[in-house]
Amino acid sequence: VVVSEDAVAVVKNAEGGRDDTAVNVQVDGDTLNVTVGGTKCYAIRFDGPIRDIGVSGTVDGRRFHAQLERRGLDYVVSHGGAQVVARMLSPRAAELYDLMPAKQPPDLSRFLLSPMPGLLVDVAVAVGQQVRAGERLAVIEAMKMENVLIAQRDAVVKKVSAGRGDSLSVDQIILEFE
Amino acid sequence: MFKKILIANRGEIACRVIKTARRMGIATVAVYSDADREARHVALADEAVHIGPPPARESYLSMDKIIAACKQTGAEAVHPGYGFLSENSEFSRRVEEEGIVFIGPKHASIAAMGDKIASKKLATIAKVNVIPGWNEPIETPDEAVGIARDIGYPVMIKASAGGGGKGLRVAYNDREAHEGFTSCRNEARNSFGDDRVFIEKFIEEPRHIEIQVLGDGHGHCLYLWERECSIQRRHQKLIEEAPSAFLDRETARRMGEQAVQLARAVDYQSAGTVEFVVGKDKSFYFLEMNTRLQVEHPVTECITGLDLVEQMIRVAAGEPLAFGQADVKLDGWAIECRINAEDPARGFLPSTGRLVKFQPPAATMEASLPVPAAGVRVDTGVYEGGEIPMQYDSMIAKLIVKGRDRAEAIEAMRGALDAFVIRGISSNVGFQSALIGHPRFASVAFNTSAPPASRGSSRAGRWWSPRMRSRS
Repeated sequence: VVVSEDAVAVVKNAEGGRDDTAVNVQVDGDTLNVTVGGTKCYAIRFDGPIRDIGVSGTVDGRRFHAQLERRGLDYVVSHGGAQVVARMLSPRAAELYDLMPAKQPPDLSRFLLSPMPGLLVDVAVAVGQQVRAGERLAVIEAMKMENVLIAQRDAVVKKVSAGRGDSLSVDQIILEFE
Repeated sequence: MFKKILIANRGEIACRVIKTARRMGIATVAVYSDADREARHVALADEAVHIGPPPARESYLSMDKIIAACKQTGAEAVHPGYGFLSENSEFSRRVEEEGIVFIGPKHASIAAMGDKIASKKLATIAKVNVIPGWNEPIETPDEAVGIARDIGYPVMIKASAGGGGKGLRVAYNDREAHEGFTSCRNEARNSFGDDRVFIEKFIEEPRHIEIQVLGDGHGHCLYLWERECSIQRRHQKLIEEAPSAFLDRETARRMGEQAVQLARAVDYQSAGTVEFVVGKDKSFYFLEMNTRLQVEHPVTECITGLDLVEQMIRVAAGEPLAFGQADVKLDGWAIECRINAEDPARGFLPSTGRLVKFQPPAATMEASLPVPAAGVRVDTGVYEGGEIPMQYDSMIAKLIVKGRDRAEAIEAMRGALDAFVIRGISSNVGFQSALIGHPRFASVAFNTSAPPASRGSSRAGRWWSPRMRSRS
């Protein structure tokens, strides 16, 4: 899993910053001796080569099941309802990582996106219409659940991109505002 | 015994019924809508009949089409599963009239229990505990205090037209009953324009505990112990277990006996469930009876070693129960987690589409086979590569574990959830993991109004998000 003996796990924290944890891995036969943060040591053994998302083995002799997968440059580990998304970098790369420009997420505030896949049962507004916060915009139905989409603030409808009876995918654009 | 039966359902429960029928040497007929052409239950059945377009009311809820499918294939009986037509007394009556056997209770039993008010009256006559209350409008605060005393504190004072927590007061003594009545009535008049106010016993820290019953056409009726179903989200059950860690055997036995009294009162001839609300003082009161096989029936199968679907089929075929109350076992501990196609990070909205990966943990028990002392069972109607349609329920699998005791069952469930890989759609596997691993689940410190992890918040998502560290 890890390419070099010394690595840094970079995890984004809730405040938008990052938490770095030094990791050292020593291979001893089938056992990986992992030192985390310079102090805590774990002896990890996997049941077999890691081929799929589900992994199992032992940590310090105790059995575990977990899920491990790559998402872009990150490793995603899920266990016991918690999930950690960590980027494993060499110590030098971790130093330089702060210099990388952060990608700005696109501005989606002018769009009404479908929150779930489903059937668009109703579009309650038309192009050019002034809507007020709290007004009903559209209704989506899936798996016996009806979801009414409400305007978050006052706006004017610029474009209606989906029509009644359409099957929507998640995050598909339904309306565009001016 | 029947030679061929039709299953008027889809998904995991259709697959579950097919399993038992096959073991009993009975041929099976599946029905399917356009959305289910490639579904697992269609592939598993010996025959399949197309019954219409995806919307349930034009397919799985169409009595005409299902009866026609029975006639076309020569099925002698129909198993309704749960949901859809399972508790529709008109369907069971029509099926009976057509000379087909309904694998479930008689239509009169379904009808008697289908009406909430009528079923409570029946329960009272059958000497089953019902929540004590006063169902006539109350005029004065003094009258309210008198009634509250008769019922016994604490009481709940509620507006007839109330809802969303408005027009609701809990009183623990005369003074609170006096004030509560006045303010409740004012609130009701102002909010709903209807100032009728009622009083009933307030159940503190309510739990939802239900009794499985089984009756036949020869006057036998038994209880198969209880299921604890208090862990719910928006009135949808999430985790069920048997037995209940909250009940002692004596209380469970008394609940079982009352459940049987009620079942006998409606001449109940099949598997059914009597739901109770249980207070923190272990007082229990009848809520309603479900006249069908329940989603969570596997936990009962695990501790009793019985195959409930087999029992339903045998009773429907006219056989008497082959065992008595004293023969009903209670062995080990079973827990079920419902696995839903929904996204906890998006407020539990449904998630549909291609199931890119579906790798359940290795199963060591199976429906309709002898139950081992410990094991993992997966009941599902989906498969890797399949599509989850948007028209039907979001439950795609049930993960059931059995242990020798509760601690072993919890440990087995934690491992099984961690090993359950679902990708392509979002699922509640991680959420269930967090619930099962919560200290309050282990210490049984939960009830229907407070799931283990969130006192005062019905949205478990609130505490879920902080644990979902760095969801980028």
